[in-house]
Amino acid sequence: MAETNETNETTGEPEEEFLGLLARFEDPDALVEGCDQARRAGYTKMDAFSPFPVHGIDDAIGIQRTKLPVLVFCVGMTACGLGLFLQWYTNTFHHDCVFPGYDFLISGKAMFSLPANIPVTFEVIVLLSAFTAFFGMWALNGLPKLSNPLFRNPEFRRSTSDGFFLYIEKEDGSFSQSGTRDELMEWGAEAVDPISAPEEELQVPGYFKLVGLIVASLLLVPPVVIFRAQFTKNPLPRMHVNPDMDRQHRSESQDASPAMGDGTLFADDRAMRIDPVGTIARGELGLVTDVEFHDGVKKGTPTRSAMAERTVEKTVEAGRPLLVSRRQDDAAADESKPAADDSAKVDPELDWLVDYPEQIRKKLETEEAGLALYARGKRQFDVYCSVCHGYAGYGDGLVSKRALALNLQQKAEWIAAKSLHDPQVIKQPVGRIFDTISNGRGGMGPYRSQITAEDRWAIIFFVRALQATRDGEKSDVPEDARVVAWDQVNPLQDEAAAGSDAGKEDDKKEDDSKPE
Amino acid sequence: MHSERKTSITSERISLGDSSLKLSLVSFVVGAAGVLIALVGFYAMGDYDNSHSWFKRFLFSYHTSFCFCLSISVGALFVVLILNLTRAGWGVVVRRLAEILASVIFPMLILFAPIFLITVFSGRGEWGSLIYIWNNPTFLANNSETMFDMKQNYLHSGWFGLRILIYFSVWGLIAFYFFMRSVKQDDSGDRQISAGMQRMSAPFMIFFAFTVVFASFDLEMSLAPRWFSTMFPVYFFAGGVMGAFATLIIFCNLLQKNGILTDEITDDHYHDLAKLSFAFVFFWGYIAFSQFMLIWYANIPEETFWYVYRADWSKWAFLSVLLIFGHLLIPFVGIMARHLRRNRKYMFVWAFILLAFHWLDHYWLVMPQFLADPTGHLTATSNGVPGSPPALLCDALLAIGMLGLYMGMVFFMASGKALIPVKDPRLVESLNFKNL
Repeated sequence: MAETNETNETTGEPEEEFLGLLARFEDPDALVEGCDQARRAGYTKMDAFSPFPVHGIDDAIGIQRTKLPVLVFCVGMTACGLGLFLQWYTNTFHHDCVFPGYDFLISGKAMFSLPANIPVTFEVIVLLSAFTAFFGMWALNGLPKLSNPLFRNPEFRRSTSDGFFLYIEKEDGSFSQSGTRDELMEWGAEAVDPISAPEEELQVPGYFKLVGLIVASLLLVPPVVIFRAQFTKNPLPRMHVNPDMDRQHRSESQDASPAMGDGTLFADDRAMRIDPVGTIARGELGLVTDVEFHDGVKKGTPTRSAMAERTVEKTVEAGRPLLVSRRQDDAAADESKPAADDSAKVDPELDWLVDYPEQIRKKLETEEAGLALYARGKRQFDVYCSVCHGYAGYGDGLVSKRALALNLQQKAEWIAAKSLHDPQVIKQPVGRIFDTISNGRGGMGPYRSQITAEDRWAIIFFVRALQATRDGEKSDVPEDARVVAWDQVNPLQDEAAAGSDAGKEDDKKEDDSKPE
Repeated sequence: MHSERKTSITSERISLGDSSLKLSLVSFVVGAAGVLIALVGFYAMGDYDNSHSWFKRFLFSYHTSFCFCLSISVGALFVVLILNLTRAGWGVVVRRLAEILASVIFPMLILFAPIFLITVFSGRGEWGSLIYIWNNPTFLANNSETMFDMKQNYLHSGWFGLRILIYFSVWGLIAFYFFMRSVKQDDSGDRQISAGMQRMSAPFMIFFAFTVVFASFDLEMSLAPRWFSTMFPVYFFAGGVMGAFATLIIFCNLLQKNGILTDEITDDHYHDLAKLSFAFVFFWGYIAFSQFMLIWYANIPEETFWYVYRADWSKWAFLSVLLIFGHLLIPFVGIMARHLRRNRKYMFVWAFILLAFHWLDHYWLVMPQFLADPTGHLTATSNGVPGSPPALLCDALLAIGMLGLYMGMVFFMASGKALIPVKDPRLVESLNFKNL
């Protein structure tokens, strides 16, 4: 290869910077021998190249053990902590903050449960350790490297087939161009070539940059489309990437029963099945056992749902269909009114709870919890009840007002919302009010599914307070809380009452027979 | 390094020579003494309670130590098979030691005789069910409606005995085949023998796998007949192979300390033995945890009771946690570093620790079942580890005794044989083996 260099010189090209000497050896043993000699001669800045791993070359060339294992170990330990933290944070840290976790109950295991967390932790350790080993190897070797001066030596490509090379850098302290060359030949090298750096660094071709720019611009399109989609409407149904998942051969909720032969699969024409009588969903045993809290009736007395079940049983025993379409029902009702229907339609008067259930009574023991219950009740009342019953409970909510106005134009058949200050309501036991909220009554719908049992009790607590503002006695207000003399307040209260009465008349149409 | 390439065995001594039979005799005496003292010890301590006699306690301890030794030999058989199957060059210098360890499997049937005879020949009853409760009529009556009903025909004493004979025969056949052929090569140097062993190692590996699976079911898992885990055989296997590598490390160290094979087994061979020990330490932990986690997660009472009992702090939880640390976490860190693995003295110490925990592992598998009442439940009479400090001392004595008998067989098998395959075609490669 020395000739090549000379040719370069003769053609007048500027002399390239000399970097080091590349020696080729006959076989792996010769290479190891050569490396060994070089190391003993004091060379340190050198590297060996062979097509396959050569036993003993590491020792011969005096290569230091890699620091990679230490690196991998440290990252592995960090990953262990990181994996555990990730699971702890996402599954248990659900405080009121910017990025809260979400406690997601899986298989009834504890939110943070070590056995379940170990596989994920293990995976995180493996992943990050593998990354560290792979990219750490790159980093420690100075990769990626687009080119190496050695590649300019045409002989060097034999290092991937049958060439065994030793490269000694010029930077080495013991290096001298002619001396090192002689030494290498002496140590068994077949040929020694000088290696030089290219005159100027090769530049990335211009069209690479152009293509890169275009690709980078195109990469911006998807995020822009996603961003835009947040603010635009699309009337088309969403794309079905995998239609199999969307159109499965099964019934959706509320579907009709699938056809089968001449009839349908289920006799009642519904695809949804009813729970067998007496079924209790997991975690809802309290609904059955704690009737005071969930039904507002005294312990050991029948509940509304028990009465309903009894009606169902009676209907089944009598051989009448449980589910009949409205039209059939109307027709049947026209023909004859069975006694069972009467009992089902009239709301049963049950053994209502007079005092709050135990859970609520416990809260009322401390002033702090009592006030919290009051605040909660007020909030829930404002959300759910005030739209019809009005913020002060006079039955003058906006919805009610509007509906009554429509009544006048014969556009609606609205039953006016009950005033909660009605003497009838005031004397109702708490259990009865609870039942009204839970199951609805008259024109009012049931709120059992929207409002939790505890919130329903909180609402009643608030309603009682509301009633006390108008109908309370002087003794209801504690001595130290009376800011004004009672006598001075009373006339005001009367005026307010008169005003509200007037308002009620404006609302119009208080149906006495069907209140609430 | 490269210039001093070895071409032949240079150690002065490559076999135990005359001392082999002497050592064998000493081992047998020590072993028999250990077992007898333990027997007397358990007798002196008396019955554990009305339904758990002193002899039953002795048998459980005996079974623990027997399974411990057996698993080491089964592990060594695996080492022999895998070295041949992969045509491994590095392991030639230690292969003979593994062959000798494996060759005692069939004779070990004698050590299993007490349990075998009691279980197979005394019929269903109090004696027949001293170790295996599935042989107890009370247990059968109490579990006729459970899933055990399906296992009744399998866990039948006659069929059990036949299976045990099959396992030991298969293992014995494989072990003797490799041992005999390999020894024969020492004389003839016939390269065809190596080729034959490699060819046979593949089908033998399949037989080995099947027999180990069912043997672990029968020997240890059926101690709790209502319990089942398809991962149990892998657990048994992983511990056994780890034990085999630890034993090989100990053997190499002891031999070299006594001037045998001093030149042939180098740091690089120790390094590989240590690497494989490390691998199987972790494999054991991986399998142990997988078995636990699947059962824990599925949370089915038929499976969980086995672990619930072992996780009770008044009973076995201490040993369970000890195993997690001593059998997995501490050795995992302790033998992770390369320079430590290459240190033969360091690994010598670790090999003893690993073997000790391997014995505790079998203790943990076997001993809790001692207190199962005749219905197969584990909660009734049991309160704490079955044994006072003297009982634990007897367990240890019995372990030493069993090891003595085991080593007696090993020394007997080693007598007159070279401890290295002197004419193996890959010997030179192995002698010059270097870890990259």
